[in-house]
Amino acid sequence: MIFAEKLEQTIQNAVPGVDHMTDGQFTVYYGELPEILRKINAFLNEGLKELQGQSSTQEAPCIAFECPNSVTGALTLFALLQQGQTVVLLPPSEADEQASALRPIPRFCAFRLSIRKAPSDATHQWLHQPASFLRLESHPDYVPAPEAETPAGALAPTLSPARLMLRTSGSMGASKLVVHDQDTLMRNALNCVEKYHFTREDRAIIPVPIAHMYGMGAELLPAILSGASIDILDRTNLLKYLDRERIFRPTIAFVTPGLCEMLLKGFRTVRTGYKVIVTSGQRISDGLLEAFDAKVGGCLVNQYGSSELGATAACDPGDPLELKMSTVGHPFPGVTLTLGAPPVVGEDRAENGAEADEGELHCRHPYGFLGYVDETGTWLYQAPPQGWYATKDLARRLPGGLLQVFDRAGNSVNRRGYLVALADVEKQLERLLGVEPVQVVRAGIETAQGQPLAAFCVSDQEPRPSGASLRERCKGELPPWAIPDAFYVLDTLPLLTTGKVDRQKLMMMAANPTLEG
Amino acid sequence: MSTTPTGNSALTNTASSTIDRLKLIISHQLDIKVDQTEIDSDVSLLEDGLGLDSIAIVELVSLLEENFGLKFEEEDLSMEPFASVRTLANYIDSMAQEQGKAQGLGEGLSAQEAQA
Repeated sequence: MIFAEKLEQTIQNAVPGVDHMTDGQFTVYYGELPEILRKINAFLNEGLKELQGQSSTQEAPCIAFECPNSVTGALTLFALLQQGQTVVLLPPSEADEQASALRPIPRFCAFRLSIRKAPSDATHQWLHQPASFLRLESHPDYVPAPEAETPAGALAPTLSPARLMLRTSGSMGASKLVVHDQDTLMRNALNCVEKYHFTREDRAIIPVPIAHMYGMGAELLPAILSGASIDILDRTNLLKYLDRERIFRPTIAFVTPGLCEMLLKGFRTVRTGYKVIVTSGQRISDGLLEAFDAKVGGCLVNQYGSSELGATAACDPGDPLELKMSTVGHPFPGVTLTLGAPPVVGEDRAENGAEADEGELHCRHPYGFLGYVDETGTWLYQAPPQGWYATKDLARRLPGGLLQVFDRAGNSVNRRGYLVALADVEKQLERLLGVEPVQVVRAGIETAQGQPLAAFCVSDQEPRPSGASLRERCKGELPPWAIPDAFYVLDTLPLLTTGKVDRQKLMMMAANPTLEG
Repeated sequence: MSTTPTGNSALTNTASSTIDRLKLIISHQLDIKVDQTEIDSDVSLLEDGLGLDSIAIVELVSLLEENFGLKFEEEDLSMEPFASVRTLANYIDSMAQEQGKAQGLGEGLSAQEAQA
């Protein structure tokens, strides 16, 4: 149990009255952690026993934990991890009291755990009364996860030993859960401790959700495991950030390109107190990276990662700006990469240098995920140990092993406020229409409704189906925002000399439909 | 100095008329859909009230600088003044007084210097 051990160290080494976690409303010094976490765990154990008494008992019940960006949220997460309790970590449902507004949780979760908002006049004593801030309920639609009945050893149990699961932001509605082993997740976090040099003296400000892999795995866990102080911001806005920055004087921050843009407008003087500011989430434009990097004394780095693998590659804060703009630096310790088709098991092309310098990026992460389960707790995919993970990103390897990832942002677009991955739409259309391949590209410039899309496919049917008829078939089958605005059926798809589909040409055809044919 | 007239009028404004000017700026000059009469003086400008996001706040700050002839320093960018239209109006009034005083003092000095 790496978390429990490292937490113990954090508590042992904490300087009283200095090392702390805050959210602006509550502050807890690390010396207080044992007592508070014990109270939370006592409350949970009692609650689970009571609720389980009513229904059938299960060996390893899974809790769906809706974790807000607050001290109570983080403390509860720490308590669950300390006990090795299997959890599905979810962002909080918005409404506090209305049951109808609760987001659905996976069927195999026996319990839902959520955090009550503290009244504005709540005192520090609130943290010592878990019954006041925790709400534990049994899940009315609970159905136990199926036992793995395949040949012995083929499938690992989904719920034990200690797991932590995260929902992926699937753009097609049907979501899946990324399953992490908690110990492996901690090693992933310790990788970040090493990479970004988290120490007890650091102060890490967290303006991004701690219920997601980025905020939790790359910042919150590394901070608590290294004993750094923590400031958690909820619903970050510029004024709030500036207020808290003045008080907390952070040395480490994890942001998104959107936050960089926001902070750039508010930072009227150059920041010198930061050791490292990490940005991730989506590709950051060169102009924004350069401007924000200058405003923070040159300590901005772009991290490449995912819910599946956690932090995978990043530059070092001291790297030259050109390097930080064009690359995501070197892979994290232990991570191996390959471009193009992954090597056959048993061969290690990554070692002998005979592989391509450019292509689809595959990663082998020693501290990556175990696989995906669906909402019933059935394995959809189990990552083979030491297996290659297809990131679906295109990448290039520069001399010296520097990694350049591109086209990631180009693969997803905003449609009526939803982030839609073009590859997902293509896959769904291929399934639905029974044609392959389908290519989906941007069609012209973004409007208030989002990015217009066009779908292209080839059909040998006689007569050739019309684009409009294909589009009609999608209605009711796919979410409206995922249905491309125009469909074109061609004799053949335009190809590049490499044999790949010429997407640029498709985009031109989509922007000027008269060019078709 | 071209800003003097606005500076002076800001000085003579009472808090309530600053509130009205603020409401006008928010409803007419800021890129959000809200009617002047619908703005409650005590509602938050931020997430729980008018819902101005960070971009809108930055926009509002430059509009305030233009309209009131003031200069917002980074320490003025804080949650407290932006808690409501009323708190912001009070803040602007005291800023106008301070910055006006500084300006007036400067003018006074130069006047004295001219006399001397």
